[in-house]
Amino acid sequence: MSSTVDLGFFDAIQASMENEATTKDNIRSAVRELDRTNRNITAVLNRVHSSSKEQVPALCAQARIYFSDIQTHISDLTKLVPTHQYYKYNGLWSGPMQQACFLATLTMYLEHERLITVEELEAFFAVKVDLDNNITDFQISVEEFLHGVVSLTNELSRLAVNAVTSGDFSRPVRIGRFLKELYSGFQLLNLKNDSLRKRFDGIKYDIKKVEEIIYDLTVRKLIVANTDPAQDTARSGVEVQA
Amino acid sequence: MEDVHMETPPASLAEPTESPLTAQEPVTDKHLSRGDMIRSNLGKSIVQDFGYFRDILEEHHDRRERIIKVSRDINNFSKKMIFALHRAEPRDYLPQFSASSEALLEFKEKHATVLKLFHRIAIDLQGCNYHRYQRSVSGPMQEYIEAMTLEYYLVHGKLMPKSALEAHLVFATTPEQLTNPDLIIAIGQFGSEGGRSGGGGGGGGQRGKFNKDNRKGPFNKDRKDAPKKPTNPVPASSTSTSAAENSPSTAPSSPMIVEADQTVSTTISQLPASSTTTVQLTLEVTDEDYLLGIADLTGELMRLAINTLGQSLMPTTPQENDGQTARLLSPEQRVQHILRFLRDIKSGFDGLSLTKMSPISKKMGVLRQSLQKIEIACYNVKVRGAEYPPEVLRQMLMSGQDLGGGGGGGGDSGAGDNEDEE
Repeated sequence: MSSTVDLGFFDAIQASMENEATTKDNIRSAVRELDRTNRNITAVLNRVHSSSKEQVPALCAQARIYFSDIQTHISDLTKLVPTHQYYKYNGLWSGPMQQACFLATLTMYLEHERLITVEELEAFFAVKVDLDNNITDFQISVEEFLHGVVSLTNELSRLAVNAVTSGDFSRPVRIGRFLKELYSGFQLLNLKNDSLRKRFDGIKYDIKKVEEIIYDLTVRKLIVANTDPAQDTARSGVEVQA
Repeated sequence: MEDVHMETPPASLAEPTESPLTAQEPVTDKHLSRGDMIRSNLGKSIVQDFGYFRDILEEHHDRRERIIKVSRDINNFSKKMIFALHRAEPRDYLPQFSASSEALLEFKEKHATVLKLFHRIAIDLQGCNYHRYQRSVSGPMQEYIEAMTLEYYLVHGKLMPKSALEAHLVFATTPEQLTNPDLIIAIGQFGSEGGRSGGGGGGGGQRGKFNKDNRKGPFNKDRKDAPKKPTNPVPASSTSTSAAENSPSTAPSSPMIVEADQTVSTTISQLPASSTTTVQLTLEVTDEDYLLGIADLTGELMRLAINTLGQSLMPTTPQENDGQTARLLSPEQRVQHILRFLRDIKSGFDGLSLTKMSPISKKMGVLRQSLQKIEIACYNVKVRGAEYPPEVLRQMLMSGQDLGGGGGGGGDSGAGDNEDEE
């Protein structure tokens, strides 16, 4: 009697599974490159904690050199992901991509003391951010960007501590104002119980930390309470909400 | 760079500040410009930017919710399809009887419902979204594959090819259905199915209960609570949405739940221009889902084989001499056929090189276990068949009792050991 199962079909499945494994391996090695450059930038930007504020622009310029490498890595990655299959492999690069978003966000903050705009982020990586909620070809998802922003709040709370140590008493105040603005932005999001939500919950501790620094400085009269808004470098229409 | 695109929507720039994502667009060119429109509005203030981000994330979460809800129903109905198949008599699967079998009619009716449910989520699963929400769909999809492959085996005696499965999952969709999926099948209004088929009394009662439970479900309420939810950009469809929401009790006679082509004819007077074009939506069956569905199928085959073995011990089988049922194999032969089928499946799986982590290799253990169970059961019937009265033996078989030693220690522990070996 003839076979009840078409074994040729299993061979075909085996072949397509092998193809998929190859695609994954290729993506992984591209992501590894991205990750390496991420670490290079992190190393450069880490020095901001031990540098005076005059040195910061030089650090940013140095970091920006690496971002062209990141563009190359991402464009390599772009070629590896088949159309419509972005989310199939998304898990492979999501982490490093969040880190890259964070680094771009941090660089931009150090340069201009404001949040990076989506267009600036797109310019950093030469990839679009997915505002359509429909990724046909490679894009940065909004979630990845927001993860990067959450990482920024964490880094800035640390920067606030170290700025005081190196004698820059006005930076914590500006950081505090910026973080509160970010927090009120995040509060607008209706987050589900996902990883972004968990990390968002951590922002308030960063804010608390910065507020304690400001308190310490104010109590010791190292800064004048209610600092002059003229120091505000930021955008128009900013409302600081407690 | 966005300035190029900004030329298109300058007039509408003012309104989207309120709710920029009100329209749920299918994949079109318009969709592209929406992202660019948002992009051109970004960067003014953090709070406004995050408002846009919220809408983008919310659209994603809402879609996921929708998919999960429908998936759960698909899962339920697929399970009922399998139960119906087990309820059917073996002879029901012969072509001359299949039309009159109540169980098979129930199967077909449930199948029709499941296909409509698939049609409904297919709208949300186009393009990149298939893989985005694949995890939510994959379980119910496997259950469905299990049901379909089981039916295919019972009718054709073969493994259903993936292409045959996918042939069912092609849906012609009208623009009205795209904007208002309630036209395909309204969630919580399964009562219409019962009305249409007029199946067995017991079954009908059960369906009624299910219907009631479902109406309590939050789905319809959700839609009302979230006016931002992008459901009704076309005026005609928004009226039908509200009609569907208002009349859950009159569901069976409601014109909302009809076959796709009838929908066109009922709405054609309202929208003569747009209802002529239908979109083909397809759902792909991933290799992994297919394999996992087959792995689940082996469990059902095991149940089927044990039942059949039990039947072989039944004292009388009156239909055996009937001229019409000549094509029906004897229970012993059927068990042997199932065994061969399982072994063929197993050799197919054995040809795959799987990593230890793969969910498929986990299910391989179940497959081996099922096969072993049948083999031991056959062995026991052969060896001990003469020692017990058939009735007792049947009882022991059906209760899954291991009839003494022999056969190399059956059941769970044995299968577990084997899993480690490979």
